[in-house]
Amino acid sequence: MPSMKNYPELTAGGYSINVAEITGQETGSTMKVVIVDDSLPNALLAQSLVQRLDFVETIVFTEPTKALDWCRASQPDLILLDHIMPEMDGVTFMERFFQNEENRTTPVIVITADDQRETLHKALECGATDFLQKPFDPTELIARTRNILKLRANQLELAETIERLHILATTDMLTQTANRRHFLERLDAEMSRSRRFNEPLCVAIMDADKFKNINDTYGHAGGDDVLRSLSAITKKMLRNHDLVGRFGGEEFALCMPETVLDKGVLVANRVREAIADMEIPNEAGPIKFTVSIGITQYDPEKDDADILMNKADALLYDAKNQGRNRVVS
Amino acid sequence: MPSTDYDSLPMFDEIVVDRLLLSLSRTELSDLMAFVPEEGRRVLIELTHAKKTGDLSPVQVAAHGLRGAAGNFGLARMEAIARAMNNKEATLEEMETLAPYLERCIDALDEELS
Repeated sequence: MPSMKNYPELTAGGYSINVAEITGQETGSTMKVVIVDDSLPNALLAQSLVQRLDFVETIVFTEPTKALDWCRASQPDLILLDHIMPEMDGVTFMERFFQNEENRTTPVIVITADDQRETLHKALECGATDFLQKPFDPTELIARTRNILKLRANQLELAETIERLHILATTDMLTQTANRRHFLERLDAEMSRSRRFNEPLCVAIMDADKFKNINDTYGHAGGDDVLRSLSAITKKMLRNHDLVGRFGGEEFALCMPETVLDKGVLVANRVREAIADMEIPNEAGPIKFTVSIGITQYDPEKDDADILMNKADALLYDAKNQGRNRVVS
Repeated sequence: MPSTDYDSLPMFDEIVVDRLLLSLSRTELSDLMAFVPEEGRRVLIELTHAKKTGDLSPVQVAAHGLRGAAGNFGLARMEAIARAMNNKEATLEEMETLAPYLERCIDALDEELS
């Protein structure tokens, strides 16, 4: 008979569901199953059964507060939760667990005695995904765990796909700035915010000077390097809540919320100077180039998005006509 | 004397044990089962405290845990005793009459698993 001291670390794991098999992707990751039961034999039994699954890591807690602490630092994929515990019941545990936004979609299987129908209903209402009745059928516990982990793997894959699609739909892949549609959506939201809170808002259009010459001299790869560097330095020089978008070709738009025109011009000039000082390495020799910028402040009484962008565009045209490498407001 | 002679109940529920053995080896199962007597001893300790404090709720909580564990492992006799001690209506005197049955059951299980 093993003594308590000799029993392996409770947090030891390393088994479970093969995520790659479910999703068709070679993720090599394991699913984390947290077992919360104040009764050590029950917790260890559940652990031994769950470990029949491949690629599952099990973490056992006999104290619910410690389990909640762990869940604050790590993201479980499934919780097997005993309903009646002296420290706190399953419903209280779930209320606290689901307070964290990231846990809202994490499945929870509640384990309860067969004479606790009312509390079981409460647990299901509180967000439990499924339940098992004690004494639990080992085969049923393994099967339900496996099925829910399959759903969890699909759910995670779907969330990742949505995230990827969102990036593809909103980002210009060459420059990693907002694409035209996303920029205009964000501009619209910023204009509403500016109107509502009576905050200033500046919009600028920036264009690489003589970009055709760059392409002709350094090739399209050189031209792409210029666009990437221009975007990177512009993003670096703006604040986090400012937005840079590629409007097409070598033309970029800048949206600067809570910015009056004087300040906007100052920032635009800093960007222009930084770009003019930049050298981009190229086989044919370092590339140096300049930008022209037209900048204007949003007037809530007169401007819609089209008018605002047209105003900035006209000012950009003036900057080009006045000799390029300048900011016109 | 309780109305049930717990000593005469079978130690194991063979159906539950057989089900467990579909997923666990005999060694794994007996290793895990060896943790259950400790839960039983916790109930007896809580009962000793309750004699001094008069508060039976810690005994019932411990008995609830034991009942669940014994049930899961197919320990039929221990589950029946724990169920009786988990009864909210049970008095201190009734629990005291159950204690010797629980002690003997723990010893028998220890013997079985050693």
